[in-house]
Amino acid sequence: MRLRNFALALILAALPLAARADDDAVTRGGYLFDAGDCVACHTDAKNDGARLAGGRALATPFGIFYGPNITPDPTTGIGNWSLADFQRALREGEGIHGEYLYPVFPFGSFTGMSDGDIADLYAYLMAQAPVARPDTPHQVKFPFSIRPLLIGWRTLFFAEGPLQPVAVQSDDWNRGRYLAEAVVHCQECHTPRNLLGGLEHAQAYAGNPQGPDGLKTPNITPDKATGIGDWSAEDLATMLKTGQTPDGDTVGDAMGEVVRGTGNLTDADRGAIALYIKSLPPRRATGK
Amino acid sequence: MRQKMDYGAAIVGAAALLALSEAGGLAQDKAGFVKQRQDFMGKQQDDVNAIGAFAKGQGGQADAKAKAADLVSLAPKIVGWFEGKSDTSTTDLPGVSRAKPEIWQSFDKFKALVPVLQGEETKLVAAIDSGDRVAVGAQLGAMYKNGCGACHTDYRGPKT
Repeated sequence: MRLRNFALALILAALPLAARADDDAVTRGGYLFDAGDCVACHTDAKNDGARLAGGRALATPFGIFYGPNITPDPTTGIGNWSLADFQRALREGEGIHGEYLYPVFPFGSFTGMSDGDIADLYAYLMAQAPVARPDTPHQVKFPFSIRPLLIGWRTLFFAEGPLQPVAVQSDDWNRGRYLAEAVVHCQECHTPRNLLGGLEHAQAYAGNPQGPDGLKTPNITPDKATGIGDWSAEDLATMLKTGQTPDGDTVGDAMGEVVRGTGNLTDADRGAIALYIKSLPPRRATGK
Repeated sequence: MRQKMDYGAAIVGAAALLALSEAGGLAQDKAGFVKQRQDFMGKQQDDVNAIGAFAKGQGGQADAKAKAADLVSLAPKIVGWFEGKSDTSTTDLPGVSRAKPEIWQSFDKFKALVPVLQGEETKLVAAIDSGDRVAVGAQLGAMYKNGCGACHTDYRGPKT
């Protein structure tokens, strides 16, 4: 009897700990969710769509893609996805049925995330309100509409993660690199793409004349003439916090959406991202 | 007969030229209006830069306060530069205007951002009054994030 009471006390003591652990995972996941600005592509804010229920259109040279429902709704969202399913999507770029995902979902960046961070992000998404909203089918141009052909793209352009730290660099630099490359996925918009949509790594961060929705994205390497060579790391960190640029203007449009997320990061993390971006080699934007 | 046809062609040509020049004139007028609107917005940017300098230890408190008061007075005038001007969007004047059509598609939402901006600017005046430059810098950041940035994210297109 005494033993049973002792066991019961242990269980009762452990329960709040377990619950607290889950809460912590949700909080950590929410932080990563903000950093990755997931809400921007998965919410049709323009048409007052429900949060994370998908439907936002993203025009690309390969067609129009619609962000899917990532609420935990079991029928139309990802409610019946296991952590392993979720991890496979981010790490390997494959959907729940093993289908190749279009790289408009930036799994080429998310693959760099750690297992723990992916699990936290999953915990956060599963803690959100489910919304029943069927996905809008993508309008992909032929031949890109044939999903199995994506194997070619993956062979040429996809390298599975996670990202490994660079030993000779500082912890801050590695943290900044991890956030910028894997979580915030800066390259997806700021690096030009080739005809097949692969990132041109030789011109990494040098701006994309054909960014999302066909809009030009700026060169954020420290190139003096075409980049942000005149910005200090502090300027960059401030911009990530409030949107303010050194000339007294504000970033807007897609970058404004990014700042809605990065504005919630810690000063240390924004500083780390700035440190990493400022350490990039200056590259001249080609402006093609 | 031939002469009659020539006259007719000349009249049609003149009318077409007139229509084209009117259209060109209208486009020029609209571009001129957009330039004035951008100058108006730029005036606020100048004010903000002066306040930013104060926050960094440069410039005087009185000047910074005057600039902040100017911002408070300019905020309600923003709407007037857009109301009824849906033909001055990025769609109508690509490469000239950065005002997205969404402004006029959801004008009430757009208008609702002005009191938010003005509220942040009023807090900025109070922060400058306190003389605490760190507080001024922090409030400037809040104004950028919740005021300027809120509007520019949804309603201003990127530089072309």
